[in-house]
This record gives sequence, C-alpha cells and structure tokens, in this order.
Amino acid sequence: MLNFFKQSWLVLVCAFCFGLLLAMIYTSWQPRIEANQLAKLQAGIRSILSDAETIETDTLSVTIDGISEPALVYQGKDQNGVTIGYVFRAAGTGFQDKIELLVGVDAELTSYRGIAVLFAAETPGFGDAIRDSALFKCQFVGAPITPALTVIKTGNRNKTDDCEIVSLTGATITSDAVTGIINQRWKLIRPLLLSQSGLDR
Amino acid sequence: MIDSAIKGQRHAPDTGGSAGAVAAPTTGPSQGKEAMTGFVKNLWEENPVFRSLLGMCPILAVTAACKPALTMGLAATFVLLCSNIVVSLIRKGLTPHLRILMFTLTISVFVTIADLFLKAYVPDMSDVLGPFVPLIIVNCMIIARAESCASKKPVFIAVMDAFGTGFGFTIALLMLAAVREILGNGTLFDFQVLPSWWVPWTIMKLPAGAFITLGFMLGFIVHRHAKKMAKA
Amino acid sequence: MGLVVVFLSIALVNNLVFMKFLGICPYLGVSKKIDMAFGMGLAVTFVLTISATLTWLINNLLLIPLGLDFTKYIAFILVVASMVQLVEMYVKKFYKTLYNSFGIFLPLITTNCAILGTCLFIDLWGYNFIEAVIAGFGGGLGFTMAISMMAGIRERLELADVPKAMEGAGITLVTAGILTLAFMGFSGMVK
Repeated sequence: MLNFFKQSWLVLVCAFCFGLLLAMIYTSWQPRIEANQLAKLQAGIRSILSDAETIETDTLSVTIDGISEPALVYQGKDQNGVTIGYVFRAAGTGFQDKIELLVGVDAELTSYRGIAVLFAAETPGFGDAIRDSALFKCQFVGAPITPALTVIKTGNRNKTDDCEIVSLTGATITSDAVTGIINQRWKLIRPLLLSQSGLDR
Repeated sequence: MIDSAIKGQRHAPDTGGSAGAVAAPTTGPSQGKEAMTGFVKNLWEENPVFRSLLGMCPILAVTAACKPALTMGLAATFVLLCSNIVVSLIRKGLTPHLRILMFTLTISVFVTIADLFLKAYVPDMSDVLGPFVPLIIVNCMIIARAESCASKKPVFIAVMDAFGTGFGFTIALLMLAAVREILGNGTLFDFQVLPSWWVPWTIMKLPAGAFITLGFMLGFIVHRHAKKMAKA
Repeated sequence: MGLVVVFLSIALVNNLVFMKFLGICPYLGVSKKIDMAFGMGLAVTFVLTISATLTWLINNLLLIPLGLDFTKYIAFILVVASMVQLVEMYVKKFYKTLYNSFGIFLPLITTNCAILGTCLFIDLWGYNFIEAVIAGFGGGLGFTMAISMMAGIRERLELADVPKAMEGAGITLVTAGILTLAFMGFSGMVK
C-alpha cells in the first residue's frame, strides 16, 4: 500500500490540483459560454421573426419511434403581446454532415416565415451557400405549409408563394436535404402547435 | 511502451528529422544560449511539421483559411508552453511507469482550458475548429517535446523550446493556410487579395486540396534541404 | 436500416482518414507494406470499437448526469490510454502469438488521433449506444481499408520514377489527396 503511494503520489497530487484548476476556470467561464450559445440562437430567431419584440420558449414533447423527446418552440410576440410567429428547430443529414435549421411559421400556421442555418458543413461554394444565399432562403418566406415543399431544378426563384423550391446550382442533394428536414419536422411539430395555440384546423 | 510509439511516430521515412541535440545540463549564461538555440532551431530547421512530420492531423483540417489556422497554432503553442512548464517543474518526481500518464494528464487539462477559452471568448473560431481543438491532446508534437525536452531540462529552456516549436508549428500552419485560402477563396485573413475575375479553386477548400498542397510543400522543402546539405 | 446507414456513413462517406483527417501520423509511417498496414488497421478497429463503447458509457452514464461535461477530454484520453495498456498486457500474457503479430502497433495506437477523434465525433453526432458501437467498428474498418489501399499504392510507387524531393511523405500525401477525391464520390449516399 505504501509502495502504491510512493509510486503514485505525484499523479494523485497533480490530479487534485488540476481538478481544482479546471473546476475554477469552468465555473467562471461557463456563464459566458452559455451566453454565446444563446446569442447565436437568438440571432437566428430574430433573422426569421424580425418584427418580434419578445421571444418566449416553450418546451413541447414529440414522439419519434415511440420515444418522446423534448422539442423547443420559440414564440415571437410583438409589443402588444400578440403572437406573430413560431420558430422551431429541425435537424437531419445533409450531403456531407448534419444540418441544423431554425424554421419559422406564422401565427396562423398557414405559411412559413423563413429559415436560418444553425449548423451546416456542406461543400464550400456549393451546398454551403444555404447559409448565406438570400436567393435560396427567400424562397421559404411566405411558402404555404400545405402541400409539402418540393424541390425543382429550374424555375423562378422570385416566386415565393408556392411550395416549389428551386435548388441551388450544383447542390441538389443539399437542397433536397433542407426541404426534407423541414417537411419531416413540420409533420411532428404541427399537431403540437395546433393544440397549443388552440387553432382548430 | 509508448517510448517506442513516440519514436516510431517520429520516424519520417526520408526526411530523417532528429530530436534537437541534447547537451549536458548547463546553468547561467550557457543555459540562456542553449535556450536560444533551442528556440531558433525549432522554428525552421527542425520545424515540427515539415521536418519531423509531427502534428499532421489538425493541419489538414484547419488550414482551409488563415484565421482558424492562426487560432489553432496559438492554442497549440499555449498548451505546449503550459505543459512544458509543468512537466519541467515536476521532472524530478517522475517515475518511469507513470511518466506518459502524467504527460497525457497535463496536456489534456491545458487543452480543456484552451477549448473553454475559445468557447467563451472566440465562439465563431471555436465553431470552425470544432473537434480539432481537443485533438491537440494527441498531437504527437506536444508529447514528443515533453518527452525529449521538458522532462530533462530546467524550466527556462523548456519554455523557449515550447515557444520555438509552437511558433514553428504556427508558421507551418499559416503557410499551408495561406496557399489554400488564396487559391481557394481569393482572400487572405478575409481580405480580398485576388481580383474578382478569379474563379476560386474549390478543391483547395476540400480535404483533397489539403493533402496535395502539403505533399508538394513537403517536396519543395525536402528539395531545398537536400540542396543545402549538398553545398555544405 | 438505420444501423447500416451509421456503418456506411463512418466507413465510407465520412471516412476517418480521407474525409475527417484523422489517423494520418501512423498512416504515413506504417502504410508501406500491405500486411503491416492491414495489421495496424485491424488493431485500430479492435481498439476503436472498445474505446467507442467505453467512452460512450462513461460520457452518458457518468459525466453528463453529474454535470462534469468539461472533463470529457481528460476522461476520454485516459480511458483510451489505460485501455490500450490493459489490452496490451492481457494480450501479451494470454495470446502470445497474437501479440507478436500485432507487434508495435498496439502502443502506437494511443496517440492515434483516429481513436480520440472518433469518440469525440460520436459524441458530437449524438449517437445512442448501439450506434456508437457500430460507428466504432465501422470507423476502424474504414481506416483499415484506407490504409491498406495506400499501402498497395505505395508498394507500386517504390518502383515508379518519383522525383527525389517528393519521395516518401510528399508523394504519399499527393496520393492520399487523389484518393480523397475518389472517396468524395460516396458523399450524399446517406440520406
């Protein structure tokens, strides 16, 4: 036993000191880290619901394959407290890596209000354009929620009031992935939002 | 066990980079001189990336643009510095069996600190670098320096060695990143340097471009080195 | 079906060497002969499967519930290092012939970025337990395939007329780059 301590006293002492150091640093920086993550989320939500004064977070629960998991929905309200829209997260597989989106719908749940990309690591110059391409993202603003969104290869990008999304040049799979993710998630979120907002449809 | 591993990893098939010359322990002004030699040598002559082929993994991943490359280089230098200091301070108490464990523990603690710092103060860089910051832990360069230098030398020499190796690493990263960013994006540190008619070489932003560029850079450096050796 | 997707995703689409840049150090050093490379690949597969399992368990059953998420990196690397050491001691004692054929690969694996990197990616992608095990196994197999392909090409390159300066690491990296281009063809397979 003594031999054990003679051999390993340094490891134990160092482990203790390091543990203390890490704990101190973590506790002092953790609030900042969380604030950063929140800021990123808020920026995404505000880019969709640009006229919202306040944003409330509701935790709903979705059931996928029999397992229920929490789903956060962000409600945007104007200065009179009237709901102007909802934003929910959607994620799925893209061309090269996962894609995480924020999707906005209006308060009457009749049309989309737009999308924001939280995470995407697609091919630079092609699929990665879903982050910044205003032309691509604008197509989702005002698109009706039924029927489901479909991707077409050629068409008029400025026609935003229909369900057809013109894919990005050279990034068909990424565009397909984005619309697929939105459609799939909306199917799960829609009944929850309907019952929550009391809108009978 | 891991001694052979480290030696095995450091064996570059043709470049034959060797560990810096280990002189007898010195004190006073000669210690300062040794430290300076160590610093300068590690910057270019014994550059960890180009000569010893250490630390390759993160290089190819983070050098798509110069900003992440610089961040990674500085993060690695920070970890190298702190771990060299700690290892040098405790070098008298290291038992042979637990040596590598101590190195690993020390390095992983400082990498965690570096990662937390990036997440707190430079979040956009943290997103770009992603999981490659924790991979500094297994960066062969840091363990090799701890093994060959910090565990045998006083603190001052270890510090200068860390600076030299770290900056050498950063220089290598920046060289590769500069090529990839200029050709692949037309920018350097997000400043547009090539005129707008330049069609960017997307391959440079992809893994393939990274491998090929590094391959040619290594070839060029080996060529220069061979010429220098032939002249001497 | 989902598990097959996970397997193919990490073995081909997100191949550890070509798409995620992991495991390059030993890759350059070891991939000179096919049988050495293959042996290294199998050793990595073995270690990676066990590491992925253990780190997933420790992360999800111990660290996250206790809020010790920030010690993740330390825990992971210590698990990998100790596990490799334990496995080496065990194999040396009970399976002497197997140990001799594994040779020096086992210790080399601890500092292989592929192991720690895959464990971290599994955590990033949020796989459940079964998916994590499959990903560990698939990642190792993908690595084995990549390294064996490289070794085969390098054996041929020995006889080719490579410029003196490019010999060794230079031409290996360029070849790896071309192979990466080929592997990009797998992208988009996983929907």
